[in-house]
Amino acid sequence: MSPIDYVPIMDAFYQGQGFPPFRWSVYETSPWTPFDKPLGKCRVALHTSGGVSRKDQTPFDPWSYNDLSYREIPKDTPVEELVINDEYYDHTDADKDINCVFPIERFRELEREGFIGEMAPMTISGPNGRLYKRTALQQEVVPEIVGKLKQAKVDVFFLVAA
Amino acid sequence: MGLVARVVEEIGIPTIYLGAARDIMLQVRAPRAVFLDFPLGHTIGKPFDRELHMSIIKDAFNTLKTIKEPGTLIDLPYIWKNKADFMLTKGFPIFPT
Repeated sequence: MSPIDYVPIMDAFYQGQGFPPFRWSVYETSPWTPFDKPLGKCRVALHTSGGVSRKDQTPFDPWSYNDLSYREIPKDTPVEELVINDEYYDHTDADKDINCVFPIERFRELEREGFIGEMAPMTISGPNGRLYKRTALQQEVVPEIVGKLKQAKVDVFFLVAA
Repeated sequence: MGLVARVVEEIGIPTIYLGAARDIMLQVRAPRAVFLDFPLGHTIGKPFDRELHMSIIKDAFNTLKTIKEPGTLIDLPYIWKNKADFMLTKGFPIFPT
């Protein structure tokens, strides 16, 4: 079986939900920042788009769209304090073991074994999918996140799409 | 979230974008993309399979060294055995191609 084509499926699904047609981002070229530091000396920030928040934070709207918000989750947060709110993918397994979409425990282990230098003090959850406000995402929200990552001297940003 | 990866890298932090929707990843052309052919919601693998999680994450990290060309997508070699699981993805009427 070849990989599933999600674009036509999601187009049909979103429009069936009453969303306007989604304008997918299609690019021919890609930006680039060279990487030349030993991973064992790198500070790494983890990211998820799986609707994860801490129980003491405002949860994501499980049917969200155009939600440009994100949550900062401290790296030492116990997994019991995390919750998923997202009705756009099946997180039955991730509800049992959140590492399926947000491997915060695995990253702590990678830090302990020295595979990475260390985790950044915070991980980033969101913004999630179904964003029609692309300009705001690119020009406001992500630069704000990057500002925080740079302040935290992050060397690598590891994104996990749910 | 390939768009996020693009902006992060434009501003100057290297990224790894691990995902399970290959066609979406290809068209957004994130700087360093790693594809895992698992059902959505399992981008790091099956629940409580620590060894598998670690293997997938380390493979993804290793692309920092192996990807030399911006916009490269690496296919990870893991195989999800039960194809029916792809059709259980909630909300999506998934038809295998």
